[in-house]
Amino acid sequence: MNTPETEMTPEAAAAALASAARTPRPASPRDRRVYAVGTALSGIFLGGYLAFIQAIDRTNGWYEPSVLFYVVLISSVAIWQRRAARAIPLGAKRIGWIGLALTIPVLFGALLIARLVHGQGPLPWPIAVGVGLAVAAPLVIAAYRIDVSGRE
Amino acid sequence: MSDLATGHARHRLDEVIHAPVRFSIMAALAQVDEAEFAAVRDAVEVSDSVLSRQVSLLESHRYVHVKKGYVGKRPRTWLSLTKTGRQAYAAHLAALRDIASPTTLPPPPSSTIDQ
Repeated sequence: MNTPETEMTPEAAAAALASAARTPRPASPRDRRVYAVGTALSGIFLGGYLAFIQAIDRTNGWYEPSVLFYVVLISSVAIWQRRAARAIPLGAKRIGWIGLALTIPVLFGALLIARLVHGQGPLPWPIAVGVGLAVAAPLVIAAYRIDVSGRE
Repeated sequence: MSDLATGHARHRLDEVIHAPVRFSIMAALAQVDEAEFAAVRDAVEVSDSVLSRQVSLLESHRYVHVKKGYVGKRPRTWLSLTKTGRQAYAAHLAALRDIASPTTLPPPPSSTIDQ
Protein backbone atom coordinates (compact mmCIF):
# COMPACT_ATOMS: atom_id res chain seq x y z
CA MET A 1 0.00 0.00 0.00
CA ASN A 2 2.76 2.44 0.85
CA THR A 3 4.55 2.38 -2.46
CA PRO A 4 3.21 5.05 -4.76
CA GLU A 5 4.71 4.83 -8.18
CA THR A 6 4.91 8.60 -8.46
CA GLU A 7 8.36 9.98 -7.82
CA MET A 8 8.01 12.64 -5.14
CA THR A 9 10.49 15.48 -5.17
CA PRO A 10 10.98 17.74 -2.12
CA GLU A 11 9.30 20.54 -4.09
CA ALA A 12 6.30 18.37 -4.90
CA ALA A 13 6.06 17.27 -1.26
CA ALA A 14 6.21 20.88 -0.11
CA ALA A 15 3.52 21.78 -2.64
CA ALA A 16 1.30 18.93 -1.40
CA LEU A 17 1.74 20.09 2.20
CA ALA A 18 0.89 23.66 1.19
CA SER A 19 -2.17 22.38 -0.65
CA ALA A 20 -3.30 20.49 2.45
CA ALA A 21 -2.85 23.62 4.56
CA ARG A 22 -4.87 25.65 2.05
CA THR A 23 -7.81 23.22 1.89
CA PRO A 24 -10.81 25.16 3.22
CA ARG A 25 -12.40 23.88 6.40
CA PRO A 26 -15.79 22.32 5.76
CA ALA A 27 -16.84 23.69 9.16
CA SER A 28 -17.51 27.43 9.11
CA PRO A 29 -17.45 29.75 12.15
CA ARG A 30 -21.26 29.57 11.94
CA ASP A 31 -21.16 25.77 12.38
CA ARG A 32 -18.98 26.22 15.43
CA ARG A 33 -21.38 28.80 16.82
CA VAL A 34 -24.35 26.47 16.17
CA TYR A 35 -22.65 23.68 18.10
CA ALA A 36 -21.66 26.01 20.92
CA VAL A 37 -25.18 27.45 21.23
CA GLY A 38 -26.75 23.98 21.01
CA THR A 39 -24.48 22.64 23.76
CA ALA A 40 -25.13 25.67 25.97
CA LEU A 41 -28.90 25.40 25.47
CA SER A 42 -28.79 21.69 26.36
CA GLY A 43 -27.13 22.59 29.66
CA ILE A 44 -29.44 25.52 30.38
CA PHE A 45 -32.58 23.49 29.63
CA LEU A 46 -31.34 20.57 31.75
CA GLY A 47 -30.49 22.90 34.63
CA GLY A 48 -33.79 24.75 34.28
CA TYR A 49 -35.79 21.55 34.14
CA LEU A 50 -34.01 20.10 37.15
CA ALA A 51 -34.51 23.30 39.16
CA PHE A 52 -38.20 23.29 38.26
CA ILE A 53 -38.92 19.66 39.20
CA GLN A 54 -36.99 20.04 42.46
CA ALA A 55 -38.95 23.15 43.41
CA ILE A 56 -42.48 22.02 42.57
CA ASP A 57 -44.79 19.83 44.55
CA ARG A 58 -44.86 16.72 42.36
CA THR A 59 -48.36 15.79 43.50
CA ASN A 60 -49.98 18.82 41.89
CA GLY A 61 -49.86 17.50 38.30
CA TRP A 62 -47.01 19.67 36.97
CA TYR A 63 -44.40 16.94 36.92
CA GLU A 64 -45.56 14.90 33.89
CA PRO A 65 -46.15 17.91 31.60
CA SER A 66 -42.76 19.32 32.58
CA VAL A 67 -41.03 16.05 31.58
CA LEU A 68 -42.79 16.17 28.21
CA PHE A 69 -41.92 19.84 27.77
CA TYR A 70 -38.26 19.14 28.57
CA VAL A 71 -38.09 16.23 26.10
CA VAL A 72 -39.63 18.42 23.37
CA LEU A 73 -37.19 21.26 24.13
CA ILE A 74 -34.07 19.10 24.14
CA SER A 75 -35.17 17.24 20.98
CA SER A 76 -35.79 20.58 19.26
CA VAL A 77 -32.26 21.71 20.11
CA ALA A 78 -30.80 18.49 18.71
CA ILE A 79 -32.87 18.76 15.50
CA TRP A 80 -32.02 22.45 15.06
CA GLN A 81 -28.33 21.71 15.57
CA ARG A 82 -28.41 18.95 12.96
CA ARG A 83 -30.27 21.11 10.45
CA ALA A 84 -28.36 24.33 10.94
CA ALA A 85 -24.80 22.98 10.85
CA ARG A 86 -23.16 21.55 7.74
CA ALA A 87 -20.24 20.20 9.73
CA ILE A 88 -19.25 19.35 13.27
CA PRO A 89 -16.09 21.30 14.13
CA LEU A 90 -13.03 19.29 15.12
CA GLY A 91 -13.15 18.40 18.80
CA ALA A 92 -16.71 19.69 19.33
CA LYS A 93 -18.14 16.21 19.88
CA ARG A 94 -15.45 15.27 22.38
CA ILE A 95 -15.83 18.53 24.31
CA GLY A 96 -19.61 18.09 24.34
CA TRP A 97 -19.37 14.53 25.65
CA ILE A 98 -16.91 15.62 28.36
CA GLY A 99 -19.37 18.35 29.40
CA LEU A 100 -22.21 15.85 29.52
CA ALA A 101 -20.11 13.33 31.47
CA LEU A 102 -19.18 15.99 34.04
CA THR A 103 -22.84 16.96 34.38
CA ILE A 104 -23.67 13.60 35.99
CA PRO A 105 -21.44 13.87 39.12
CA VAL A 106 -22.30 17.58 39.42
CA LEU A 107 -26.01 16.72 39.27
CA PHE A 108 -25.82 14.05 41.97
CA GLY A 109 -23.45 16.17 44.09
CA ALA A 110 -25.68 19.25 43.90
CA LEU A 111 -28.82 17.24 44.69
CA LEU A 112 -27.09 15.50 47.59
CA ILE A 113 -25.96 18.80 49.09
CA ALA A 114 -29.39 20.38 48.55
CA ARG A 115 -31.12 17.44 50.23
CA LEU A 116 -28.66 17.45 53.13
CA VAL A 117 -29.28 21.16 53.64
CA HIS A 118 -33.03 21.16 53.14
CA GLY A 119 -34.23 17.60 53.59
CA GLN A 120 -37.05 16.00 51.60
CA GLY A 121 -39.89 17.79 49.82
CA PRO A 122 -39.87 20.62 47.29
CA LEU A 123 -36.72 22.74 47.46
CA PRO A 124 -37.01 26.47 48.05
CA TRP A 125 -36.55 28.31 44.74
CA PRO A 126 -33.15 29.86 45.57
CA ILE A 127 -31.70 26.41 46.36
CA ALA A 128 -33.39 24.85 43.32
CA VAL A 129 -32.00 27.59 41.08
CA GLY A 130 -28.55 27.01 42.59
CA VAL A 131 -28.82 23.30 41.76
CA GLY A 132 -29.94 24.21 38.24
CA LEU A 133 -27.03 26.58 37.72
CA ALA A 134 -24.54 23.98 38.96
CA VAL A 135 -26.01 21.34 36.65
CA ALA A 136 -26.00 23.69 33.66
CA ALA A 137 -22.40 24.80 34.26
CA PRO A 138 -20.45 21.87 32.69
CA LEU A 139 -22.30 22.07 29.37
CA VAL A 140 -22.17 25.87 29.31
CA ILE A 141 -18.41 25.73 29.93
CA ALA A 142 -18.13 23.05 27.21
CA ALA A 143 -20.04 25.36 24.85
CA TYR A 144 -17.60 28.16 25.62
CA ARG A 145 -14.68 25.81 24.91
CA ILE A 146 -16.24 24.77 21.58
CA ASP A 147 -16.70 28.40 20.62
CA VAL A 148 -13.22 29.62 21.56
CA SER A 149 -11.39 26.60 20.13
CA GLY A 150 -12.42 27.76 16.65
CA ARG A 151 -10.80 31.15 17.11
CA GLU A 152 -7.40 29.69 18.00
CA MET B 1 13.54 7.39 12.86
CA SER B 2 15.84 8.29 10.00
CA ASP B 3 15.33 7.59 6.35
CA LEU B 4 18.56 5.61 6.36
CA ALA B 5 16.98 3.14 8.75
CA THR B 6 13.57 2.90 7.03
CA GLY B 7 14.36 3.69 3.41
CA HIS B 8 13.32 6.81 1.58
CA ALA B 9 10.33 8.62 3.03
CA ARG B 10 8.46 8.21 -0.29
CA HIS B 11 7.98 4.54 0.59
CA ARG B 12 5.85 5.70 3.51
CA LEU B 13 3.50 7.67 1.29
CA ASP B 14 0.04 6.15 1.16
CA GLU B 15 -1.01 5.59 -2.45
CA VAL B 16 -4.71 5.72 -1.53
CA ILE B 17 -4.28 9.21 -0.09
CA HIS B 18 -1.64 10.27 -2.61
CA ALA B 19 -4.10 11.06 -5.42
CA PRO B 20 -4.82 14.81 -5.42
CA VAL B 21 -8.60 14.69 -4.99
CA ARG B 22 -8.46 12.03 -2.27
CA PHE B 23 -5.69 13.96 -0.56
CA SER B 24 -7.90 17.07 -0.56
CA ILE B 25 -10.85 15.09 0.79
CA MET B 26 -8.69 13.72 3.60
CA ALA B 27 -7.30 17.22 4.29
CA ALA B 28 -10.82 18.64 4.50
CA LEU B 29 -12.17 15.86 6.72
CA ALA B 30 -9.11 16.01 9.00
CA GLN B 31 -10.27 19.48 10.07
CA VAL B 32 -13.71 18.39 11.29
CA ASP B 33 -15.34 15.69 13.39
CA GLU B 34 -17.96 15.17 10.71
CA ALA B 35 -19.12 17.07 7.63
CA GLU B 36 -22.05 17.00 5.30
CA PHE B 37 -21.34 15.68 1.80
CA ALA B 38 -22.14 19.08 0.26
CA ALA B 39 -19.79 20.90 2.64
CA VAL B 40 -16.91 18.60 1.65
CA ARG B 41 -17.82 18.96 -2.04
CA ASP B 42 -17.67 22.75 -1.73
CA ALA B 43 -14.40 22.67 0.21
CA VAL B 44 -12.68 20.33 -2.24
CA GLU B 45 -14.32 21.92 -5.31
CA VAL B 46 -15.34 18.77 -7.14
CA SER B 47 -18.59 17.48 -8.57
CA ASP B 48 -20.96 15.23 -6.63
CA SER B 49 -20.06 12.24 -8.80
CA VAL B 50 -16.30 12.69 -8.38
CA LEU B 51 -16.63 13.11 -4.63
CA SER B 52 -18.94 10.12 -4.41
CA ARG B 53 -16.52 7.91 -6.34
CA GLN B 54 -13.47 8.98 -4.35
CA VAL B 55 -15.29 8.69 -1.03
CA SER B 56 -16.38 5.16 -1.96
CA LEU B 57 -12.75 4.24 -2.54
CA LEU B 58 -11.67 5.81 0.75
CA GLU B 59 -14.55 4.03 2.48
CA SER B 60 -13.46 0.69 1.00
CA HIS B 61 -10.06 1.24 2.66
CA ARG B 62 -11.84 2.16 5.90
CA TYR B 63 -10.39 5.65 5.89
CA VAL B 64 -13.76 7.37 5.70
CA HIS B 65 -17.04 6.59 7.43
CA VAL B 66 -20.19 7.38 5.48
CA LYS B 67 -23.43 7.92 7.38
CA LYS B 68 -26.71 8.39 5.56
CA GLY B 69 -29.78 9.86 7.15
CA TYR B 70 -32.56 12.37 6.86
CA VAL B 71 -32.96 15.90 8.14
CA GLY B 72 -36.68 16.45 7.90
CA LYS B 73 -37.61 14.89 4.57
CA ARG B 74 -34.29 15.65 2.90
CA PRO B 75 -31.73 12.86 2.65
CA ARG B 76 -28.28 13.80 3.85
CA THR B 77 -24.92 12.08 3.83
CA TRP B 78 -22.34 12.75 6.51
CA LEU B 79 -18.65 11.98 6.09
CA SER B 80 -16.00 11.57 8.74
CA LEU B 81 -12.48 10.16 8.98
CA THR B 82 -12.14 6.88 10.80
CA LYS B 83 -9.38 6.39 13.35
CA THR B 84 -7.48 4.41 10.70
CA GLY B 85 -8.03 7.25 8.24
CA ARG B 86 -6.70 9.89 10.64
CA GLN B 87 -3.63 7.76 11.40
CA ALA B 88 -2.99 7.12 7.70
CA TYR B 89 -3.38 10.82 6.87
CA ALA B 90 -1.04 11.82 9.71
CA ALA B 91 1.54 9.26 8.52
CA HIS B 92 1.20 10.50 4.95
CA LEU B 93 1.74 14.12 6.04
CA ALA B 94 4.75 13.06 8.10
CA ALA B 95 6.23 11.32 5.05
CA LEU B 96 5.61 14.43 2.95
CA ARG B 97 7.31 16.59 5.59
CA ASP B 98 10.29 14.25 5.62
CA ILE B 99 10.59 14.46 1.86
CA ALA B 100 10.13 18.23 1.80
CA SER B 101 12.52 18.89 4.65
CA PRO B 102 16.16 19.21 3.56
CA THR B 103 17.30 17.73 6.88
CA THR B 104 16.09 14.32 5.77
CA LEU B 105 18.08 14.34 2.58
CA PRO B 106 21.15 12.12 2.73
CA PRO B 107 24.28 14.20 3.26
CA PRO B 108 26.51 14.64 0.23
CA PRO B 109 29.38 12.10 0.25
CA SER B 110 32.05 14.81 0.44
CA SER B 111 30.63 16.32 3.65
CA THR B 112 31.89 13.47 5.81
CA ILE B 113 35.24 13.30 4.06
CA ASP B 114 35.92 17.02 4.42
CA GLN B 115 35.49 17.03 8.20
